[in-house]
Amino acid sequence: MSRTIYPALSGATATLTQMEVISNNLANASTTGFKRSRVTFGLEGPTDTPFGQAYAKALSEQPFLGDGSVISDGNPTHVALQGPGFFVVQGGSGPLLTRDGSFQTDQDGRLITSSGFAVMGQGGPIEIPPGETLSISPDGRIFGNISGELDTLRLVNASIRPTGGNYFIADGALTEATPHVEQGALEGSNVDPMNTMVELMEASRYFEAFQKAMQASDDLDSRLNRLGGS
Amino acid sequence: MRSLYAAASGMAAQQNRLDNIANNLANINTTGFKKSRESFQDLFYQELIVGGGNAGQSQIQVGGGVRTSGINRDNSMGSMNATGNPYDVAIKGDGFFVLQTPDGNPMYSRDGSFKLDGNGVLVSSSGLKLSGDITVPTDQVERMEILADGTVQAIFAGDNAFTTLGQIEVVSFVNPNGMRAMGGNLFSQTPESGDPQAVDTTQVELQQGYLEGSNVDVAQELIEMIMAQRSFELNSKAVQAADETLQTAVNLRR
Repeated sequence: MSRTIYPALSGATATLTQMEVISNNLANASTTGFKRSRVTFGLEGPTDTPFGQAYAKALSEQPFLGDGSVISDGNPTHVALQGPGFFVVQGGSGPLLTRDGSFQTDQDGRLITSSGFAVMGQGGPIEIPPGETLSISPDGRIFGNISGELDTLRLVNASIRPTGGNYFIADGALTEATPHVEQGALEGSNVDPMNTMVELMEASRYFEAFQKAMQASDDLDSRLNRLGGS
Repeated sequence: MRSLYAAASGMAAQQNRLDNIANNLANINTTGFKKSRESFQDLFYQELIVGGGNAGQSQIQVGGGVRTSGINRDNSMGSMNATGNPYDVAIKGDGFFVLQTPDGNPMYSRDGSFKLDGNGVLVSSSGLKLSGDITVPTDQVERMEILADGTVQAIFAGDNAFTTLGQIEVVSFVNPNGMRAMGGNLFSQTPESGDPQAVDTTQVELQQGYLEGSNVDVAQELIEMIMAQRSFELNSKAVQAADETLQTAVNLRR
């Protein structure tokens, strides 16, 4: 039996993973603060022997942290970040990071995310006394028109992985970050439709190429089988 | 094929977004209407390779697509339109008029196009009484005025001083975004919105003879519509690509 079919299969499988990631990127082209991901590939198995077989494998997937476009909406509790850094929110089981600044106040005056998690300031959840008109400075300090400076947004950097709901889980320690903070705006998704469509075309064609390789290998086998018969 | 489902979720989300834009545009002339905007969140991630704690270790997570996470109302002021009608009132600043429903639960509205019912009581355009039952005896009144703080006063025939008839109540909420839109320009209180609070009369003013227009901006809605339509199209391409890939896989066996 020809051994070509398995490396080709591994290539096709890795390409499928890539297509799944691309589809998820496209589905989130309008998601506030979404960061697109890319799959990187690697080889597995011996590559140095003449008959050794190398297998392609999707090795890792990294969110691409470039800024999304800033869309101004004039809502005073909406905040966009530009430059590296994340908001810290109080998740159900520990802190979560996010770039989605579509905040609002809850019935107790706490600043919360659209899914209801409290937004963290330097000294815990940020609270806005009733009746205050907010202004947020580019370095993240929050002022009210009645009581003056209220709190400062906690902004951090970390190695991250996405967990859904526009949140990221931090792997490892949080370090302080100083992105530019813009009030009355939201950061759009950083998915670039043009780029993503090219990636999608590329993946489709690779998949087709791997199919051809598998069929060629199958052809070879069937010819070998016929050798003895006729 | 996770790509098919992710792309389908993207199409559904854009469809939702379009529904919301259509509603905003339909209410472009609705008194006191507040436009709303849909927001999205990515779905759960499936871990194909679980990364460890240390940075640089490989990890692969494939996301399941997108969902609508909420619809945020934009509570900014609409334009103030002069009508000259003495029973039209606009609220300048945050706040809502308080209306009484027949079942006793208060409703809240920014629509100040009031009128008098058969008994001379001030009611909303849909006939709900204002809280405080303000009666204007039109047959005896020469002039009626509504002051910035909500006081309704009138000069009776043969009199030359104002008599106070009542007070239009205006309340605000800590989280007006949490109020439930009931249709008919009405909002109701929810646990998320908090309890109604009296407004600070130095910040909020009533303006007689004006109505607050809708805060929908046509240009902005049209741009949103283009974005929604194109994103829908992009996702349909991903569905197509996933479909073709499946077809290629199926055709492996000739």
